[in-house]
Amino acid sequence: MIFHHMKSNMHTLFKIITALVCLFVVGYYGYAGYHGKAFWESSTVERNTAYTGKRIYTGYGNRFNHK
Amino acid sequence: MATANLNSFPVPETVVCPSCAGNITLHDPAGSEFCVCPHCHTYIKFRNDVPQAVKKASLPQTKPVVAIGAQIVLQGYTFKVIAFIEKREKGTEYYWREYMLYNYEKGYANLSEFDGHWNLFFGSNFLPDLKNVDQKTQSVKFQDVVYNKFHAYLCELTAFTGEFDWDLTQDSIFTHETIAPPFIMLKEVETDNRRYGTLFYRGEYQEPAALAAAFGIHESQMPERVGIGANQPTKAYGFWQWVLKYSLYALLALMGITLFFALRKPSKTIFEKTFPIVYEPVKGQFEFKPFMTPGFEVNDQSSFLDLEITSPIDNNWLEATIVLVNEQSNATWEVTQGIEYYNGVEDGERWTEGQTTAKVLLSEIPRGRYHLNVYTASGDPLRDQLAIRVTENGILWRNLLVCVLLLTIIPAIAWLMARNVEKKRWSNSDFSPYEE
Repeated sequence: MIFHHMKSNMHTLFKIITALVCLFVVGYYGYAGYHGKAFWESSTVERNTAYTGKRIYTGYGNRFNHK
Repeated sequence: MATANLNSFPVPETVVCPSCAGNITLHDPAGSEFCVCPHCHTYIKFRNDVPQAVKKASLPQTKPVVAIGAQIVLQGYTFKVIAFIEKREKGTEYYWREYMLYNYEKGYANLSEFDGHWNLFFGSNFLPDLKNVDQKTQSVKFQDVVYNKFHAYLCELTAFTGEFDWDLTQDSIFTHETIAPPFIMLKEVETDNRRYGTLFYRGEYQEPAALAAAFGIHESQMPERVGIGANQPTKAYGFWQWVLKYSLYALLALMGITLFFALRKPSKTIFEKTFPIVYEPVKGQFEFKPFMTPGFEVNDQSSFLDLEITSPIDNNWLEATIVLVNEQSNATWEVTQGIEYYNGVEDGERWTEGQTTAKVLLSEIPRGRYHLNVYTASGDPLRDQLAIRVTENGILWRNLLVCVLLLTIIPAIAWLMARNVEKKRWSNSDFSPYEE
């Protein structure tokens, strides 16, 4: 009997978790769409750095202040 | 034949046992042709309404949960319990119990219990369509529901008490069980074709709590449930269906949002130009002269940008470090992206590898005026062109893909849980569709 109620409560909990996950996923997708936010950027993007000359094939020093 | 088409239960009558002279109450005196004396357990036959002892009946091993003569209401029908029977599958030691129920309008129904799992069975007197069951080898179809074969066995009567309209001691019945939870279909085949040949009975799973309420007893007095009943509706299946439904709603919402942004913030090319590039060996091997592009505007408050570089390289590589510079705030985003393209002919077959174009995604770029600083390197000193295109907004497919995957995880888990329960259910069957 107790086990039956526990199982019943577990299913209610799972349903709440599912509903929250669905709401979160849809909500965050909408937020990201509105702000143009990609869940992940291209791996080579670096923000607010001076030009470092990091290269895949070669490595060279800075040529001019790009700002 | 049980008396039917009445407006109320017949008035019970008392007969005297020919063996012990004890009083026997008959609840369907006109319909019952056999009964068991509750005092001496003599099986009695009525011949021209005169009771005659046939033999001693075996006593059931368990006490009935609801007494013979009790009235109960199930599925809108008022029944009297008129008999209690114990049976088993021939060659096994597992018993189940059947309560014969009598309704004054329809006749007999049957309530069975095994391992605490209850089913209420109706024959064609309640469900006339049972005369038209669509039969296949491994399944039957009734009222558009397909029932899958679960069990087949020869029934053996072990004990009984109460009153009956037939001589159940003469029964020799082979039963085929098919299930479609919460329903179960019994196909009873008389092995000797003595009375009726083949009959169908449709059972529906009964929750013990609801039955206890109908019996007027506490649920704790009901037999304890063991395992999963053949046609027991499971919460796991219901949960999977619930999750599937709401995940589909969430997926539809994703599609709606995608469509909304595709219309509200459509993909737009905000910069596109092909630049000449010049090899500058004095800077180092492979190095080209850096250059700065003209300015362009990012119009939305916050948007993502696709930077696409293209150069018609051939059997060589090119790499560009591009710095996006906000001309008001001097904020920068620096990316390095290479392209390579090789091709040739080998063993008479043409092959290619790589591409002459590549894309980089920049996220959450604020509104403003920007330009690009471009630093190019290439293995081909004669390379003389680099095309750059910047696109604002559009559909972020990677976001959509991640969300769709996330929304399918929980239904997938719920499906696995439901499948696991079904596997457990079918582990009691010789006809399981699940591989061991």
